[in-house]
This record gives sequence, structure tokens and C-alpha cells, in this order.
Amino acid sequence: MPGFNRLSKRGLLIELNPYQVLVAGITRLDETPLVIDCAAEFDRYDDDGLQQWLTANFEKQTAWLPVVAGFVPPDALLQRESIVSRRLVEPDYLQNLVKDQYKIDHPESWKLATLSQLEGLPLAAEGTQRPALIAGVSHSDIHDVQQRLLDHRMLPYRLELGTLPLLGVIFDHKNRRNDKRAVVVVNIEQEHTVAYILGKEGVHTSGAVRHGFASIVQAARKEFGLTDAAAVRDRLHLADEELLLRATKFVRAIGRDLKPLVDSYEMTTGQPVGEIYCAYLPPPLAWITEPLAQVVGRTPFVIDCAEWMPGVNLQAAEGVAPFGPHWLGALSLIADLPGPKIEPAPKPDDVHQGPWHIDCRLSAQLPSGDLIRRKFIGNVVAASIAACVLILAFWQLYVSGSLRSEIQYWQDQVATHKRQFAELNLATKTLDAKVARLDAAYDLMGAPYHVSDLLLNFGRTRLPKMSILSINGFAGGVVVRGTLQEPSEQAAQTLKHYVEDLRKDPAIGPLFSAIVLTSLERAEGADTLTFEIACKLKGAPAT
Amino acid sequence: MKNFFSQVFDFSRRNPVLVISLAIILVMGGVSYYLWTRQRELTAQHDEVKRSGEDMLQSLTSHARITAEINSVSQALAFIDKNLVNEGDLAENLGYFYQIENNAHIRFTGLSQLSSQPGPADAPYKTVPFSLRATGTYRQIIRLLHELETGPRLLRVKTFSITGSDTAEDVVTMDLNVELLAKP
Repeated sequence: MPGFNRLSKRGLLIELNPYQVLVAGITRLDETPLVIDCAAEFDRYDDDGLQQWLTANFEKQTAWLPVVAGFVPPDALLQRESIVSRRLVEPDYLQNLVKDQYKIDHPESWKLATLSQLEGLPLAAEGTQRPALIAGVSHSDIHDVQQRLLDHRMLPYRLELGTLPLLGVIFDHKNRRNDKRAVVVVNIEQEHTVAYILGKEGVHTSGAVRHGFASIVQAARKEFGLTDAAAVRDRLHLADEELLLRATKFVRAIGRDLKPLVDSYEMTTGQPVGEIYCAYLPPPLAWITEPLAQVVGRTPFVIDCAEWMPGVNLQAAEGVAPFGPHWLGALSLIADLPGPKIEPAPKPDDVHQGPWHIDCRLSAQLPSGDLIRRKFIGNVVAASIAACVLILAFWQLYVSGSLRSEIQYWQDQVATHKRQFAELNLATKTLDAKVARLDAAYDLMGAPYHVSDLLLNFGRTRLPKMSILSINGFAGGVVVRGTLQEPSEQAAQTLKHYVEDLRKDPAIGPLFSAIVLTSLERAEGADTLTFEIACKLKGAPAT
Repeated sequence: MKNFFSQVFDFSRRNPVLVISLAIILVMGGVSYYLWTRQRELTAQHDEVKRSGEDMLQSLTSHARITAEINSVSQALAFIDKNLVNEGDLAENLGYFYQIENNAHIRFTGLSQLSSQPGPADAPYKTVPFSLRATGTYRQIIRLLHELETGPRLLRVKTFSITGSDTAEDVVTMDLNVELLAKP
């Protein structure tokens, strides 16, 4: 299985057909044969039942559940057409072809593929006119199915148009039986019926039969006189003798239109049609096949799945109920058919995944492995940033709250001490006024020294042979005049030392900025010197 | 538009973590931006109110010191005011010097009150000048000066002249120009 090579975990097989949803668990997706360990059938719209079954059987599945899926949309295109295969390389060739032939308005919104009508292999873009099968599904149908699967945490690793692999296994089964007759595969939709004739020239398609399952319901309603839709449904699901006796009447509308198609095929190709197979009919409606075969004049196609499965590398685990013929479409999705394979082996994203297997996924809309990783990383990054932003916001909230509390605290403090502060301001003003008065008194009365102390200090420092004649004090300083009875040379030295001593005297020196000997006169005929020492007060203006 | 919202809803349903994270980033980012701008205003307001509060509390701690200083200054001013002279009260003013004279045991040979210079109109005090002359021993002169400088009236010696006597060895003559602090 190309899509499962890298898978070693448990997977799921699911088919969404016109009547039912068939699901089967696969033990390991990479083993051969594939072992089916559980299976269930649900009504077409029974999503709740499907979810419960998934929960019960895949409860440990926390990530995406890998599934191989098949679906049968009523509007799907599967037609045998004559194409110019070398033009397949032209991007618009196939789209223009289906637009012209099958009135598809927007073929660009369809997933289209071509394959050989005999082996189900992809066509090479070479050669001239040749018959081929054109398969197509609208993007909206694919999207709906994908979304439904994703809603159940199922990740489609293949999403196939279910009719193709079914035709493949019937071809294979016919070949194994060496049956030369053609087989008619009938898909009874609600409002119409599609028939595919599988003969020696491959799949032959014809126009749709205008009657579908609704014609059977209508006939049954009339035949049994029922008016309620549920009652008709219940009656059709009860295949008793009375119903089987009237069954031919119910399918007559479909058979009447189908028979000419089959007869026409026989006449055109010369190949007899032997059996007819009604695909997807659930067990309660399986009775439809036989009367329809009678009306068309053929015999029902019979297949025993239990016998058939080992031949296509499928195995049912112990305890799994035997699969009925209606499982043929679902099992065909994973059946390993003998015969030619695609060379080289297809990649997971290729459209052709094997003979009769066409992958219709819209990969861009699916969470691929890389996408899951990217999504996880994206989620982690986004969640981290969100956490950071959240923390930042709460931090700022906290800081704002703290600031508000602090502001409130300081406002309370200011309010509480407002009266004391006003008193303090008043006291400060009072002090300033009083100090101003004190300063004014000091400015007027402040003196650098006490005259009495200064006189005492001059007296204290007076030398023994020195006489002070006068001391005059004024704003600029003090002038001391006197005599020294010593020889001139000695007296000059003595006075020099005396002046230096005055400068160094701690009671006199600091008061004056300069103490200098300003006059020195020698008296006539005596060893006496008259001197004058000027002491300039600090801060006094220069004279 | 309906289709757009449908797609958004669909995307949200498939990517709840991403969508919720983006919603949180957008909402909380907006809230953070608002708080950030608001926080600058709050910070400025907080700084201002805190500074003024701290200044106030700091100032209040000095209340006791200021009160003590006021008391000290008030006492000093009271003493000053009590001993201010009145320029017009000549007898009282000269009487103060006579009192000093008695304490120093020396007589002024010259004592006169001089005219004061007018001061500024709002000045709390003014000075009244006096001229003094005394003759005595060095010790007497020193004592007289000490009494004058430490007496109750605030006095400043503007000029002084101490001259020895030519006749007596221990006698000195002192001339003083002083100012007393007076009421304006």
C-alpha cells in the first residue's frame, strides 16, 4: 500500500456509500496481509453512532486517526470516453472535454483523472485516439467528505472514488473464475441508477437510468397502501415472503430501463452479459438484486468475501463477524490485486495510487504531517506569545495597581501631615523673621575682636626690651608703634622674629590677613630702634 | 460577507488554540499598550507625589530643632531689645557709661554722645555713636574696655587709640569711638 509504507500504527477503513457508512479497524497499516480486527455498519447519517464506535475502539487514539476512505457521491463522473491521449499534457484538454461532453459548468472545480478502461492504470500522454475512463468528483463533494472525516479526528491518507476499486475487484474476481461473460455493476442511487458493464474490452458505461431507489419506495407505497415514509422503509427492510412475491413489481421501473442498455451492449460487442451486481445494498435491501436480475434477464453476481479475502491479502481477526457482499466496495479499497502495478511506485500525493485507485484528496485542505507539525509549532509559538503577552499585561496591571497604591499612600501621608506642615511653615517664617532681626543686630554690632583681649595679647607677646608707644585701631586694622633697645642689627632680627611670632600666635595671627613691619628707624646716638607694625584685618578693603 | 464569517468560524473550530492565542494576543496586547501609556502618567504622578511627601516628612523631622532655634533666637532678641538705648534719652545713655566708670574705677576725661546717621526706614535697629577718653594705668584701661565690651548694652568699638604718657611711665591715654545699638 503506497500510502501506508511509513505507517506502523493502527488505521481505519471507511466507506461512505449511498446507503451506509462501513468502518473497519486495521491492526497495522504496514503489514501483509492486512488484518481487520473490528468492523461496524452505520446508517448513512448516523454520526453519533460512528463517533461512539470510534471512541470505543480507538480510545487511545489521541492524534489524527489515519484512514483509507472511499466515497460514492451521486454527482460523480465515471464515463468511458474516446480521448486523444497525447493531448492530456494540455492543461485544459480534459476540462474542455468534460465541459463539452457532460455539461459540467466549472470543470476547474473538479478533480479529474483518466485511466485505462481495462487495467485501471493511468494513461501515458502519448498516442492518438483511444478509449479511456474519465473519473471526476467536484471539489465541494470532496471537501464535504474530508470535513466530515476531520470532524471525527480521521485524517484521510487516501480518499477514493469508491466505484473504481469495486470495478477492479470484480474484474479480478471474474478473471480468477475465468468467466468470459460480462458483469453488470449497478449502483442504485436515490433518484437514478448507474450501470457499469465489465466485459473483455474493459469497463463500458452508458447513460444513467432515470429511476432510482425512490421508484422502489414509490412502488412499495402503492403496493402496500402505506403513506408514512418510515413505514415504507420498515416494510422494505422486512424481506418476508409477501415482499419477495411482489419484489419484481418494485424494481420493474429500474429493470425496464436497464435491460435495453444491457441488450444493446450484447448486440454491439457480441459479448454475453452473465451476472448483475447491485453495489452497496445493505443486508435488509439485498433482496433487490435477485428480482432486478430477473427483470433484466440475468443472474445475480455472488461472491463470498470470506473466501475472496485471503486472495487479496486481507484477513479478518478472530471474533470479527463475516463480511457480507455489501462490504465488497469497502474491502476493495485495501485489496491487494494481482496484475500490473504502477511503475515507479507512486508518491503519497500522487493521484494514481495503483490500478483502479485514484486519490481525490484536496491535500491543501488537509492537516498533512508537515502541516500538523507546522500547526503544532504555530500553536506553541502563538500560545507562548499569548502567554508572554498575558504575563506582560498582568505585570503591567500589577505595576499600575502598585503605583496607584503608592500614590494613594503618599496622598494620605500628605493629607495627614498637612496641618503639621502648615505649622512648620509658620514656625519657619517666624524663625526667618527673628533671624533677620538678629542678623541686622549682628551686622551693626559684630566686631572681629575684643579690644581688651587684643591689648592683653599684644601685652603678652611684648619682648622684654620692647616699649609700646601706641596702639591705634580702626576699621582696616591695627597699628602698633614702639621702640626696641637693642643694637640695630640684632634689633632688626628680633623684630623680624617678633612679627613672625605675631603671625603664628593663635590669638592674634588668625584675626589679620597681613602683619608686616612698616617702619624701622634708628635713634641718633643710642642703640634704640623705633618701629611700626601694621596689622590688616581679614576682609578689610585694600588701601 | 456571510461566507467570510462562515470561513472564519470554520477556521476557528479547526484551530481553537491558535485562534484563542491570537485573540489573547490582540486583546491583551491592546490592554498592555493602554496600560503602558497610562503607566507613564501614573509614574510621573507617583514621582511628584512621592517627592512632595518625602520632602514634607523630611521637613517635619526638623520641627523640634526649628522650635528650639526659635526659642534661642527669641531669648537673644529679648535680651537685645531689653538693652537697646534710646537716642533721645541722653541722661540714661551717659548714665550707662558712668556706671561702667564706677565698675572700672576710672574716670572718663571726655564723654559725649554724637549724632547718629539715619538708617533705612524698615531697619529694626540703628546705632548711636559716642566719643570717650580715659587716662589711667594699663590695667585700668584694660578693665574699662572689658566692662564696656561685656556690658549689657551692645557696643561696638569703631576706632581706638592707646597712647603711652610722656610723663608717667605706667599711664596710658585711651581714645574710643563706640556705637551702641539703639531703637530705630
